[in-house]
Amino acid sequence: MAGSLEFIKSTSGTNVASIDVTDCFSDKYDVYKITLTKWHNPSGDSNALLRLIDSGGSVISDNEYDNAQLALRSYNTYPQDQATNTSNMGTMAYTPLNQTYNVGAVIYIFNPYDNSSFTFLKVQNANRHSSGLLAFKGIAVHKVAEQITGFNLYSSQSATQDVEAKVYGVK
Amino acid sequence: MAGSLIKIDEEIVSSAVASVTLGGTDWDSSYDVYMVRINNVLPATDTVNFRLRFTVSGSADDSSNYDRAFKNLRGDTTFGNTSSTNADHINIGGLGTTGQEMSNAILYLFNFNNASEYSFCTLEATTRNDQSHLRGFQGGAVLTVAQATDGVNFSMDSGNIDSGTFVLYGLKK
Repeated sequence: MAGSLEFIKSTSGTNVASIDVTDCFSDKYDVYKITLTKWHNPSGDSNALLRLIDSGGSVISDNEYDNAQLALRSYNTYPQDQATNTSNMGTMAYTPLNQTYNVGAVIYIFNPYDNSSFTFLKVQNANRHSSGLLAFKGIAVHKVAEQITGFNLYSSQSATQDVEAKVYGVK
Repeated sequence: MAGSLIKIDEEIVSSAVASVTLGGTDWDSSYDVYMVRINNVLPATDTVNFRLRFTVSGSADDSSNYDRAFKNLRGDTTFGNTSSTNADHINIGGLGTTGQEMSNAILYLFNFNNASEYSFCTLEATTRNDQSHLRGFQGGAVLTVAQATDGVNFSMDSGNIDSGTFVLYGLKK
């Protein structure tokens, strides 16, 4: 029997300022699963932040997002972070300074292609920090009803990155 | 190659219904773990709580035996801890009828086919509540009765489910 988790595309980049994963959302699925397994940053500690790409191929960088994240740390307390009317959907992964540790992130995106609905996201990830384990649980919403066709990952430090991500449709 | 996430049941609500059941007569007991995904779930009545129950022989179990514990992520203010014991349902968040106050979530179901164990679920939701604030319960719940269960039932605590997509999958052994 055919399964209901269908591979759509893989993307990777080396030494890139950001990466656009385009044309991965369509009317074939309502819900998408994204795995992010590499987020290397040679020039500084870096959060992988996510923005959506509209049907015209433009990265949405306006303050149209709300997000909320809980950080779970093996070495310290669990800080929380929340934002309204901000320019991204929060941290999808993290890498410390000058390290090439791989990361593990699973992201779900709901209703991106439906132009009558907001797009929602949830993420869970686990990453190495210089002091131990750093994990995030997060949620976000893009508060404009428009058709979304892809997403963009970029560094919180405006640094170049090595990136590896895969996109699946949940049928 | 065949995949390992197998669709068992799907309900798409396009006109209002009192509740949605996944499983029941469509339940396939050949899996140990199940996944449920819901998206675009909107209530017909403003300012209501979205609730979940497990089913026994296809009917929602409304006995006062549900415990839950969630971290409530909030986009506009401090996060909360939400818990309850011996409730007759699992409250999975407030919803409304204005401003895309909808629920989207992924759940996993455990021990549903084991009559000598409790039935558990995990839930991760990303929603907008009845004040149009970003919310997301992250946690788990249990029905503290050692019995076999055969599905999940979604409803609002007042009024109908106006729209939404509900899908049940089995994770192949």
